Amino acid sequence: MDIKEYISSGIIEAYVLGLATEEEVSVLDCIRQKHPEVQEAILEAQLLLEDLATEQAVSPAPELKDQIWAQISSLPADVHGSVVTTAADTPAPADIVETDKVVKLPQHRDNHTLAIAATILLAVSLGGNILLYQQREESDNMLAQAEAARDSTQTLLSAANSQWELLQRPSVKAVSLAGVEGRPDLKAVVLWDTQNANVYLTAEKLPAAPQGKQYQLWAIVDGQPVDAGVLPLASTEQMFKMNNIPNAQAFAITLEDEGGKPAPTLSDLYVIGNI
Amino acid sequence: MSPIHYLAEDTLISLLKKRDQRAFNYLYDNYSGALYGVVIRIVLHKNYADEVIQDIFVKIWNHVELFNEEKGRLYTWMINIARNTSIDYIKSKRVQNEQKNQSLPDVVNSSETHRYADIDQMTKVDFIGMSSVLGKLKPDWKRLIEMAYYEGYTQQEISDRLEMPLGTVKTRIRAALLQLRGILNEQ
Repeated sequence: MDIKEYISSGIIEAYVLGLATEEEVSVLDCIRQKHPEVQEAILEAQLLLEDLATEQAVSPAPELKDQIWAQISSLPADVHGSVVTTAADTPAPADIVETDKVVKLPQHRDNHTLAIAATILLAVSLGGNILLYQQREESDNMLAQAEAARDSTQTLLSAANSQWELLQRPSVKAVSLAGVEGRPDLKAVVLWDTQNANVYLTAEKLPAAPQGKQYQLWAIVDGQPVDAGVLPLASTEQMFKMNNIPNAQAFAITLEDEGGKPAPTLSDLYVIGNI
Repeated sequence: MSPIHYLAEDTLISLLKKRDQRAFNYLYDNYSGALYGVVIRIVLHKNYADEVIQDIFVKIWNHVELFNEEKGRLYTWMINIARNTSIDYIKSKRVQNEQKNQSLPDVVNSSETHRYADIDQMTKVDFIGMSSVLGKLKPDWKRLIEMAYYEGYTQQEISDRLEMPLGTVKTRIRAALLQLRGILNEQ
């Protein structure tokens, strides 16, 4: 990986300003352990913000000091902060298709003349026919939709079954890779057999790779990205067998030129997940 | 208790963990100005800032156990607490103000008005005379740093608002901070 390029991408500054996303922070935490120059760049940027704060200092009103001490010293001694993690966003509910329709029948009833009654009956009958016809159309449509849904469910089920079989092996870990900032909808799952080092990837939630490009999977091993192979360009398979990886702390997918690259292009990072 | 004029960071931290008043005095005397300078630039009102700076010292005091010397410096840690507390505060004030204004039919872009709205009829802080290192940056870059550092926007939000690609936002923020480093070194 080109560390200079990584540093000059602005990631360090985003990190110290508290702007980096969770994914970016986890990549950075991996990389900083192995690369003192990254560690140093972080420290430099933090010192800069410290110097900025010192330079732009504004003295608070003198009486505040005693007020704050009074407040602090009145706190119970055993109050210690605890880290509160916010609950993950609840997934959005699936759209519910509205199918129920309530039809109100006309309520006019007039016994004055037979003619009026007959006209109304005819109208009601016509209305009823139209209604029944519409309902039948609707039922036909729903049936067709249900059949289509069943077919696609069956395809998914057989794919899910083979994934399930893998998951049931005690040595297999499922690592969920989530989209990085700006690509929140993307998702992929790595199934990693820690016993035989086999790596499988499902990546239905990645957009089709543009012409001349190909997705590449990386294992982050002790802060270093290791090539885990490229995704086949055209394939109807749901799950791909990737390169064997005996040891890793995270997996990530980048978009690279066709054929893959020896080192990842971090600006084209799509998804990442820690183990 | 005699005042302490200089403390090594590890001594300070161990005194803080023992809840020693001298540690508070030292922290306050040395850092309250810098932290207050961050706070006032975010919350913009003296009344707000006075409230927030109290919160910040209480948090530092209560959370010192969570501070990890191996992960970073105490000063940086305190600045981050000051900044996050201030941004959270101003965001919750903004929500309160929006609720107050719900009867008004025409609240447009209410999230953008926090720097200009004067709902509480309080005098905003006069920044004239305050040292403004940021003012020496190129105006575009100054705006970026203000949005990122004092206004709590995410990179994605900055990118959307300024209609600038995300990658450009990142590299410009970096360029701005590099220029800032040069300015601070000259002082």
